[in-house]
Amino acid sequence: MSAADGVTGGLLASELRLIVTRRRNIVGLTVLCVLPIVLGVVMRVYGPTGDGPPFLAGLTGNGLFLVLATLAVEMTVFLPMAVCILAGDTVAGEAGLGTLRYLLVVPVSRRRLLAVKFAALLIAAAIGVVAVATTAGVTGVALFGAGDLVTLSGGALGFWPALGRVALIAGYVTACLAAVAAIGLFASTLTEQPVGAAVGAFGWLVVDQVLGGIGAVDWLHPFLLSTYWSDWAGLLRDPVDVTGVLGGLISPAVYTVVFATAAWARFTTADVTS
Amino acid sequence: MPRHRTVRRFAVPASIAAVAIAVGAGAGIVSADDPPDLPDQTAAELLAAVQNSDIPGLSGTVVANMELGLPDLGSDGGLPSAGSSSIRMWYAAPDKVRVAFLDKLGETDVIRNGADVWTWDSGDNEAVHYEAPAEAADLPMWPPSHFTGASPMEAAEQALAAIEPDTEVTTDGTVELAGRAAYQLVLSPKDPDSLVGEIRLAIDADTGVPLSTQIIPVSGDEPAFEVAFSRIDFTVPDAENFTFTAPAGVTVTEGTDEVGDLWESGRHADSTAPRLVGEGWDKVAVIDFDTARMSEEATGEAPEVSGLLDRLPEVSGDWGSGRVLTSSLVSVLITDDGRLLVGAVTPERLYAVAATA
Repeated sequence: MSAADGVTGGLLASELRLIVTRRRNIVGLTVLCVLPIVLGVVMRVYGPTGDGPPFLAGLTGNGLFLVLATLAVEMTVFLPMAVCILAGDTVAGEAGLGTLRYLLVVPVSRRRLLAVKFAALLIAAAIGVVAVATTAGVTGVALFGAGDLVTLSGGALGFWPALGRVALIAGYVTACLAAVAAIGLFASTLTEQPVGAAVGAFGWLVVDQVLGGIGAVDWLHPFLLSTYWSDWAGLLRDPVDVTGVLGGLISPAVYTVVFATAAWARFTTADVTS
Repeated sequence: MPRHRTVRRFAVPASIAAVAIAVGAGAGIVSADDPPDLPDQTAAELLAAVQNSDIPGLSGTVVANMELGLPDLGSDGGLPSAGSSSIRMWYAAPDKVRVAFLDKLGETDVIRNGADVWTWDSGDNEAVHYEAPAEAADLPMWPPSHFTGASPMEAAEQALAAIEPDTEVTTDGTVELAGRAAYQLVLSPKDPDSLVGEIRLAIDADTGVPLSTQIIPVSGDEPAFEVAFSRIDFTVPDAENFTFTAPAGVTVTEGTDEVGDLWESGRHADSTAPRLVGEGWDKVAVIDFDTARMSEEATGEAPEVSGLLDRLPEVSGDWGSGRVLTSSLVSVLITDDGRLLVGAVTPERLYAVAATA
């Protein structure tokens, strides 16, 4: 391990500590985790209904459906918004506080600094998804039990295989959020206002979702990010629809690479004055 | 010069995005890039290969796209004029078939295993079991068109059935489709009244199975209808794909003799059975209907239907008067005296038929 690696590791740790211990972020994560509890209690009291978020109809007998319903609901707004806020903070936050120039004194290249910030962002997004999914899973199993999970194809999965599928779905959602993080990271290199960067990135996602809902521009849909946000459904089929799921990961992968390199192009050549 | 460096570095994301968009835009179901090298086959040889095709089993995913170019009648028109759908299918024997219609977050299945026929709907969390009647035991459910409306094989069979002296059949090189090398067969109607420009079939070089069917209208170069395998595997699927056991918590209904109805549906001979006028490509279906009775029966929908009709352009001639709906592939004429004429032909041909039939 060279000295630079040591510095990088230290940077990553301090970056993560900063994200995880910031009170605002803890409150935000708590809000994200309250939603599945509310959803679960409402379903327990009023009984599963056919309308509303998908998968709630299958809740009787298997609590893991609450994880799926929660992820489907939170992917529309809450999780991408949370990632946008965190991502907006990465570079613009330091610039806004005037700490960025001190950070650049550390003997680490800007490229590596950006990579560390992006890595910390991805880990934070994964932590968020895992926290939300775990809360939903525990709530769901406590309220509805751990019976067989009925797949979309009408098969039954035992608890542990079902948990494996749900874990893969959480992984898929995290991959989609990586693209959101990259967009936010790029926005964050453009401004010294963390709020501006977060709003800009989230605005992009809103436009993406609105366009996805307009049939007249269906030629555009394959190029949008949100088109693929629920393509993890292939993991709930029997047998698993691998091609569908992998196909759905192409778009987030392309978005991640494009915006991460755009952030690199901007950040490594920008004049830092604050 | 940092400015220049910035521009140069932004070339990296820009070129990645450009490549991704180019690849995405070019990624139709049937790609003509890099045609595989296959020995030449005549059109007649290809037709024979399709007819002699005999495969022990297959599994795959079928994607269907429709772009009929119907006039925009507003969101309440309810006409399925454009869209894409995906189907997964498994086939091991005529009585071992499973077809799954994929929704974004749901699935509808039809499974036949010997005498047992199951339908499953994930949205309703409901399964229906049918006992196939004895006389239907040997009835092949393949191609599974009774339920799907279209599979690449069935679509190809219909196209081949339409081959008549007024069709030009040619070959057009090779394509790669679903990872397989395929010949292209092109059927072009010679009939000037036909809206069908050409029908392109991709025929698997190894097995003779039609892998895709595209219908290209006279008015354009893009297919108005396209059904193709996006993935195909010719190994016989495992038996477990055809067993269905209703999970706990699922509503199971025992179907009665509806399975017979299922087969017969659409074939009922009653007063509204269409009469076919003409031969080959300019065939027109004429359906007599009673507008008053229709609005009586469909009280709920009647205002919507008549509202829809009002938005279609009015036409009249020595055949009478009515309203016409035109699209890239289908024309529909609704006459005021209660006839509905449908065909893959020009409106002029419909007027001519309306004058005589």
